[in-house]
Amino acid sequence: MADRRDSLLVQLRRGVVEYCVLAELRGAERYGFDLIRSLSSSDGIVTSEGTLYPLLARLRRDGLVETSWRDSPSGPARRYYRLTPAGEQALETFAAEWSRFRDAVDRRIGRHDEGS
Amino acid sequence: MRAVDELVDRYMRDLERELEGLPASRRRDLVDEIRGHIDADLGPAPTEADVRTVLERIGDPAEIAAEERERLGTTPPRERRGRLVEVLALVFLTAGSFVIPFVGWLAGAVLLWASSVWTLRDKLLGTAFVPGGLLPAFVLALGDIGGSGCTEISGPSGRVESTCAYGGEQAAWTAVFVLMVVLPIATWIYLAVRLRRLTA
Repeated sequence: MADRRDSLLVQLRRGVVEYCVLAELRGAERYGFDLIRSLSSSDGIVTSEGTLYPLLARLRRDGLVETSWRDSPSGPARRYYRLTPAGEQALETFAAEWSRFRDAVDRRIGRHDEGS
Repeated sequence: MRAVDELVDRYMRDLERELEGLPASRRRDLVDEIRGHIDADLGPAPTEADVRTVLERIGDPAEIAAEERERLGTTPPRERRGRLVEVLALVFLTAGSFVIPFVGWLAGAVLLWASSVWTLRDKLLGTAFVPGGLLPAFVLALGDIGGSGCTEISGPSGRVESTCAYGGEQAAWTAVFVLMVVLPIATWIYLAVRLRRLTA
């Protein structure tokens, strides 16, 4: 039973983390390292910072994100990430679907967010 | 070697080992990115504890490699494609006419154009230079079209001498004959080489 529950959470996390990455890029271009540090937190969504690099490569390949290089006075050249129009669209679509989904599940399970 | 350097080096070695089997460019990119991340996170004078914390945050190399494989997949090896159509095309193009004049060559031409391996340019070259294959050259040689240009004269001592006069017409026919042999063979070689290159 524990295995099944873990697997479900793992899958949910995997499905959702790419949209969390896209959301982090809303409105601004971010330096890769900064982006990853701000995604790494204790809320359990991102457990390993290193795994974000393959994810970013995948987002790049899918055209949801694009990168550019900037020279840095304090070290090697830096890679910057930003959303593409397709990425913005994907994020908005997911946000709408996620709200509906989250509300439906909450209703069925009988939990209501008290804001605690 | 300082403990901190050794920790990082060991981690990078583990990472490279886990990434084996992935395309070289992705491997290189990932290694560079992770290394850059570690350096950026550590700052100028990291302690051992700093390094261990950072490496833990970055995560298990095996997990990173697994994520890479899942997100980006490994490109399946290019499958060896059967070349039967192309081999038959080559056979029929050159020698088909010996079996059934012209129709044999035509079968080869059909197969040539049906091939999904050769490019349009390959097909055009193949059709333009090998009409009839080697048969026309063969016929030309047998029929000795254009004459030999040599006349045999019985000389005074009874020996037969032949004097050959190579006029322009004779030279022209010889040139045509050579072309009719060389071009099909050259085209055959070209198509065969292209076939090799495209299905390797």
